[in-house]
Amino acid sequence: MSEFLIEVEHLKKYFGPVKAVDDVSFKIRKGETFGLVGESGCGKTTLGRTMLKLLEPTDGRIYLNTSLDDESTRRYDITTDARLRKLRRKMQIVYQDPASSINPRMIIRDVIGEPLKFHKAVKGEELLDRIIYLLEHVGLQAEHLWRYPYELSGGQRQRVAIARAIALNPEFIVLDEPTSALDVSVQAKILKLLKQLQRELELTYLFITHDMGVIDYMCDRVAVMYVGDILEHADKEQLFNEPLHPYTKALLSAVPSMDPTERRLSQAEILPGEVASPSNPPTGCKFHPRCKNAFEGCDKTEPELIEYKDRYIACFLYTQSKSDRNDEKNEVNKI
Amino acid sequence: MKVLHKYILKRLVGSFVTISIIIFVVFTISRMAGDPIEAYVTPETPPEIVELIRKKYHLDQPIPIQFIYWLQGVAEGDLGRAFSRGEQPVTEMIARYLPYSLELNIYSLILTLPLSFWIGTKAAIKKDSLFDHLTRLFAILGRCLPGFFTGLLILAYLYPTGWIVVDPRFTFPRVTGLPTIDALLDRDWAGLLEAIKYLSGPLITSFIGGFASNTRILRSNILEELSKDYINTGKAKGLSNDYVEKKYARRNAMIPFITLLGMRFAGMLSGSAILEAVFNRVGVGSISAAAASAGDHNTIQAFTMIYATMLVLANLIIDITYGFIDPRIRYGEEK
Amino acid sequence: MNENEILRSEQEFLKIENLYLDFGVYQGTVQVLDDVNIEMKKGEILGLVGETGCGKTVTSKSIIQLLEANAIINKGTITFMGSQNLLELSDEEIRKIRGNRIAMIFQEPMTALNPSMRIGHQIGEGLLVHFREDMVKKGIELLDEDKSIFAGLYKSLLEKEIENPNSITLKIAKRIPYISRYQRYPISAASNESIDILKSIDMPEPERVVTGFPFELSGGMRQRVVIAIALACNPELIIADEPTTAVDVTTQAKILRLFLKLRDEMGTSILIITHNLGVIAEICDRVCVMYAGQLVEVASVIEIFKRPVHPYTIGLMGAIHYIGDKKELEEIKGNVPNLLNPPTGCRFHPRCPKVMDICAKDKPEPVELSQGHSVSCWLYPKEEG
Repeated sequence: MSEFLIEVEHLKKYFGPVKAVDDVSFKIRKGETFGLVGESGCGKTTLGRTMLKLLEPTDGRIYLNTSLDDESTRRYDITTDARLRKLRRKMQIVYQDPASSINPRMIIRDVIGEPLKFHKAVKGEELLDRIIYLLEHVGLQAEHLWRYPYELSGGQRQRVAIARAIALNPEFIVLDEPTSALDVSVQAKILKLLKQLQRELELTYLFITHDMGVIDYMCDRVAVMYVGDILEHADKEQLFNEPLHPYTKALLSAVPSMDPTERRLSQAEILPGEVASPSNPPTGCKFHPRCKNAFEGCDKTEPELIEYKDRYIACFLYTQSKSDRNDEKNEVNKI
Repeated sequence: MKVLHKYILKRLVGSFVTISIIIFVVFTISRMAGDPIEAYVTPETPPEIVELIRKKYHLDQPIPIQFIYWLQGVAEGDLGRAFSRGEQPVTEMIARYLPYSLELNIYSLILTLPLSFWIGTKAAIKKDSLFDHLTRLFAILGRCLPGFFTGLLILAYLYPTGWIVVDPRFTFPRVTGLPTIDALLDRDWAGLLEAIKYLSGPLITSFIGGFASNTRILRSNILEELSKDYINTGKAKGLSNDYVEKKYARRNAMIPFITLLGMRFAGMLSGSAILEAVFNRVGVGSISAAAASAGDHNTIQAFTMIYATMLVLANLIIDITYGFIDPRIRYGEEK
Repeated sequence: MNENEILRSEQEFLKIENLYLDFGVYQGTVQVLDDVNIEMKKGEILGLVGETGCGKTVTSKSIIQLLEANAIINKGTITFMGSQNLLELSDEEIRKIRGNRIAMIFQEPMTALNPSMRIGHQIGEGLLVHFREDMVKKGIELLDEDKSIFAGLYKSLLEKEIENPNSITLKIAKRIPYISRYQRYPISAASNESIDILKSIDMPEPERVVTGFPFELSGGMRQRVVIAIALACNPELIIADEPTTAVDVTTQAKILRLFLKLRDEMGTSILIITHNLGVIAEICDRVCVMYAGQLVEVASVIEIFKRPVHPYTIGLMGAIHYIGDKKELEEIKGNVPNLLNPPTGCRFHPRCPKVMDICAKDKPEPVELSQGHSVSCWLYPKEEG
């Protein structure tokens, strides 16, 4: 039985000429929080949605290792499986903007009840009980059942969104910038709630954000995206302590310090140029025009994401040395 | 090719195609609804005469052939005869009655537009003031009250005062067919007054409806612009509130407004049978209504062709204007 | 100026005193600002920190009277470089200051620019407002190189403008279609000036950007245009409202560096409003912390981070996790209050872990703990006598 809950293989999502997600592969372990970080336009939101098949993939496969209907655990191909509706109960999403992700015309009871009713999970009296249970589980009270979203604060709305997401006992939740629109103190509460729920309900998270501090708090592994590609992914500690990809290094160097006596703005690596366009990306490695370590060959072919020491990285700085010595190992480890 | 040129070309071609399709479809339907011969004969007509008539009007041919004959006729300026009005040639009917509708609509537009513009802007800027509330009240009333209701009210109150005339006696010669213009050309001041009085009833009524909706739309467009940050940026530069609210907001609010205007104008051209009935102002509306119920396919066809052409033309002009105003289209370059 | 005056003018660069502000809404009055006092020194970067509803944006907008129509200022004065109360200036007078001596940058770069106006014109517009004569003169210079028929006419019109800006001839000329084009020349001149401004902030291809429209630019570039607009007339004070919230961390770094450069090379003072403590730590000299319309703590940036004193400030610091932070996230219990009916006394008291009876009764007064570090909290009551 696999330790991985989700396996993404060569996933692509193109919107016409715009290559929002361009051949991405990775795996997420059960119970892990996998962080996805990158600048705006890198495709992280598109990736999150495509993984749940909210957007139709252009190419590639997504596998979910789970059990349906009391069957034994096996591998389901989300991209092609006809039982998608049932599989959807296992995977949910929480969006960034609590104001627009909840139907403003429904009272909270119905917002949370909707997935339960739709999947016929619970009926009648049990339904209300379950909704109240969910509300309390996310830190709200029964009195909130009858409110409309506009009557709640941003933090409360996001709690409702979370309650809705866990209503069907999913195994996997995509969290797309769930706290970016919230105040700092509210953000703290929601993050703690998410961690608590993860422990209690044995959830696996894909956490999308641009905030490095939040990544550090929440995530076990982190992937760095740039214009549709994953450039590097590793254990959080390793990525932050020893970033290898030049882009990761630059990104981390720009994160402001929280200590005024140890300012690092002057050491921030300012990348030349602007973020590459997903509809007309540079040849070869998409990052190469802005990379200070670029050399001959970086503009010819795209580096593949391969295993290197303790992580996966897509960069010729590391492929070169690796391929010289361990061609065979590369073949086995290429995802 | 420049984006603008391509845009215009696309619109031109599209318009042509649309008109052609509409004309053909209406032609087909009106020929298929019942036996068209019935318009020309009575139950007593002897069969040989019926056959003769059938041949004369090509009614024995398949519909596409009939269409070609009809097109031929159009090219020669012959649109057939309108038997719902006693064998009068359709072209003559158009020449006689279209100007009345045209006149009404042109004046209505001239009156409504600047006024809705001015009042709509003022209401938006002074949101929630007494002025704003009154404007909105009037706008809703204008929209909700059906045309015939307002029309009848106006007729009832203004007819006795002599400010509305329902059976005008014009003594000036017909030049353009628009009474006010012809009176002016003939310097017939009494006639001009008469023409204005003939116009006033339907004009006021359609003004109320048109003004109402235009003002509401403009007001909401401007409100939306005023909520955007560039208004603040402008004020922060030291520009006067007046300048920013008018120049900045209005220009950008106009863009979506103009699109709507095109459709509105064309809609106006199709006439309003109801208003015409109330004020006894025979125009396109009444004629087409009568033709439709009598099954007078020549007239129906002709007027449909006119409506379709005017509608599509109006939209075309508006689209092209739009292309000039919206810098994204005007200055965009094809990549 | 004697020594005292110099000292005073240095310290009284910007002074907001006893500011009380309400918003009149349908449901009643929202008491947005409750006795806000802020002092800013010349050449410093002051951070204004707080969460939603704390009143930081409203405070900054009131400096240049950029408030909504339903804002009611009950009490308070704002002085700038020893001027008279900015709040009492007429519309005309405050407009002379806006964009010229005090400039403001807003948060959302996507909507902060006029979509149907060229970039160069937008940046140069400040110059056209405040330095019109210079721009007209430069417009005349541009015309010197123009050989077209109308050049002479345009030139004389522009010269007339310098002589008598209110002349009737000009008023008429503005309305005539082709003739009114004379106004394009000062605009072009201003546009050219904006190329230099863009160069100074390291915008790539400024000549091309200047003739384009906002829709052609990315979010990060638009934010830089917004900054260019603010810099156009070389203001003494820039108020930046959440300037980096809507941009990526790499663009943020560029913008923060730019702010430092402005302060170091041009002596520009910057009032930066943000909820991002990383931004505060990196560039601010001093920090004011606000909560629900009240100023709770003011200190140097080091003091605020190392020795925060007010329970709210401590709570705020604890709620943020940075890379490598070993501490668990702390929560502040409760929610931000509704200011239609704000809590009595110290507005933070319902959520304060150290609350005492007196906190609900009276509002604590600011007490100076050490040089430059003051706090408004009953844990640090004002000494009697």
